[in-house]
Amino acid sequence: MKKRKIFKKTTKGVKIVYVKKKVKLPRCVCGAVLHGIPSLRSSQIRKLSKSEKGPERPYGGNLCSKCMREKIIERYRK
Amino acid sequence: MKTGQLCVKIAGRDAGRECVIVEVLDDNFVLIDGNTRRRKCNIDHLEIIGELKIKSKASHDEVIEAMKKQGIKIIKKGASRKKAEKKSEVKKKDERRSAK
Repeated sequence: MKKRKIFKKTTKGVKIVYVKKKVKLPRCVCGAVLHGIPSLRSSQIRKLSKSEKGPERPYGGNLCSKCMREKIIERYRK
Repeated sequence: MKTGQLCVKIAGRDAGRECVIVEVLDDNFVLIDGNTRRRKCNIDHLEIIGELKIKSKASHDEVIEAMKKQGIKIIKKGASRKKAEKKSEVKKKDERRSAK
């Protein structure tokens, strides 16, 4: 796993601290932040159960509920 | 909202599936059945797309027959799970072959 090196000043001198990279928040196409999805690294997400990885509705984890509704309604109005 | 209206569910894990209103329970809630589970549902979570002829409090089989007549594809219960089980069986077989 890649880590970011940070040089931190302490009273005893300069100390190296390793910090894990931050993960961006998962977002929908519309820009809204997706709830119910953990913002973790892929190696950490792999350890979670299926229901913990995201919402179980169709397009869960890719679209927000509003966008999903619009998409379904569009499909049937055509 | 009336009994017999054909709807699509637009919320929850059954979203995108067709259902029929079987009974009107309240101003806000109805009982639905069809490709979804037979359950109470908020009317805000339904989009009406048509109408079927069924009696109120109709059974699951009656609802499905009416939907078939309308030409709606019926989703069998547990179909996705069976697919997944088949896939896992094939994977296991491949692993055994590779081990040999």
